[in-house]
Amino acid sequence: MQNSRKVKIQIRGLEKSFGEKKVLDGVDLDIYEGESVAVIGASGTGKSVLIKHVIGLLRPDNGMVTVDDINVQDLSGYELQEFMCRFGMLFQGGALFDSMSVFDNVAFPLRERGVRDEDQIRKRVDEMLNLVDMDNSGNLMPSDLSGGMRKRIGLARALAPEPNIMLYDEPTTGLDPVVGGVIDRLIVRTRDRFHVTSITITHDIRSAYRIAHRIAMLYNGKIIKIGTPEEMRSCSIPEVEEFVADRTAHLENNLFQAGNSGFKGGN
Amino acid sequence: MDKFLFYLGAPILRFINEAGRLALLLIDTLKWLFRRPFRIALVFKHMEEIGVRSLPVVMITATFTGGILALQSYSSFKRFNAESLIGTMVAIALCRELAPVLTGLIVAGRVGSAMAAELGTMRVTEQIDALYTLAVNPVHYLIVPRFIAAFIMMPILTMLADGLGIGGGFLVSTQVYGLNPTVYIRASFNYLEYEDVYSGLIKSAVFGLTIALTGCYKGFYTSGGAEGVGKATTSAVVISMMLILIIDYFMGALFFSV
Repeated sequence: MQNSRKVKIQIRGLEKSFGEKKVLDGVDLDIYEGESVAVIGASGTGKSVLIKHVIGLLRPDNGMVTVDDINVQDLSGYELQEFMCRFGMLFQGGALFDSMSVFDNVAFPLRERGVRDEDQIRKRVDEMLNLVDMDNSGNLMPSDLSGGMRKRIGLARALAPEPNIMLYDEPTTGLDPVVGGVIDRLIVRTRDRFHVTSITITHDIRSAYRIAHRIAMLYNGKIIKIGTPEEMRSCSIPEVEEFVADRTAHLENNLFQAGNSGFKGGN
Repeated sequence: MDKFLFYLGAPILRFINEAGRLALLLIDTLKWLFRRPFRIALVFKHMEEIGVRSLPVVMITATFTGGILALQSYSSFKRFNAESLIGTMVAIALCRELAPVLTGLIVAGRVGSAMAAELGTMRVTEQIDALYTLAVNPVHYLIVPRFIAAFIMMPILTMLADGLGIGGGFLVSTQVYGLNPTVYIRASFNYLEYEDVYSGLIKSAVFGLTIALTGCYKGFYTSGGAEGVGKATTSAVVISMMLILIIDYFMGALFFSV
């Protein structure tokens, strides 16, 4: 069934070393349009490195990454900037510009893409703040916000210019379980409402179960297992079992499991 | 022997590595310099930061430097009855060297450090990566406006320092030592040539570029959290001050060797 769908992001034989250390050692991964994939793995296994290759921030030593059949490593300078328009990224700490108010942060990508009509900007910003349940927070400064709120504003900013691929870097790290759940719910909402393709890198398996259609486990520079949350849970590869095991007990959120299994790939 | 070579080689390699990255950033900056959109508002914002906010400290430094120059040269010039030439000496020394170099050092301390700290903080909190993912080139958005602003404001500050320094020398000479004001002013400007002034201004523009580039470079490639930002800030100031003095010598040699 999956072969009939359009491949949005294709990663083939990706290798990258930093000095002596081989961080990625032949990663193969296909991500289909409208799909949400979580890449899990312990800290330092190269999850961020993988994502940086997708957006062209790093060049592979070997192998290739294509997005919409465009070879990412062929792009440079201005082309890369144009290419980035299809992406939105949520950073670990939100990465809000702390010299600007919340409103200006969310309006920033719109203004940068040449939207001059202030009414239109205001409308879009309000819409985005509403999406992340942060209505009427436009006048606050990033320093006034808690960690979870910053991530929500970060999400609003990333979504404002209507990207068709969303990247989430450790979306629940550093948040308490309740706020983490809120962020997960927003990611699912984004996924279902805008049909964006998304890659999430996380070591929070609980969060991965909630937001992903498929989960890929990165270990020693390779993807050792990729599958649906159910397949991951019943997987017998020791490294996967170990990663998944002690946290499955917490899986109480049936709502999200129901949401995940409902994906049919409508695009 | 191996160890000796290691200790000799490692700093050299590090230096070449840093110089190379600095050069690459300069090339990148020049490449994005004429790209649309032109961020005029940002340029003005940084011009205010670099120029207007440096005014008090530049004014005080220049006035007192001119004053002390007159004060010191009086005692020596008096020994061979050349007091009437104090004005010439003060004006030439200020325009050629002291105004551009001192202004450069002050701006390096004030603005270079601020640039490194601001960009460094943006780097460690992933704001620079965020710019990139929002399809905004960080060099274009962060470095180009600072580069232009420093290039424009440094010569302006230097011109002001020239004037105030000459004024300081004038005050000390006429009020403290009772020299004839007309003679002093004539001595100041009769022998001052255009070359003395514009060589100083060209130098100061180059210093401005040096300060902006070093500060931005150090901030842009910061790593290692808050501590890294601190280190970047310190080394931005130290490096740009050293570069100013080195560049000053070579540009001076270039301008006045013939």
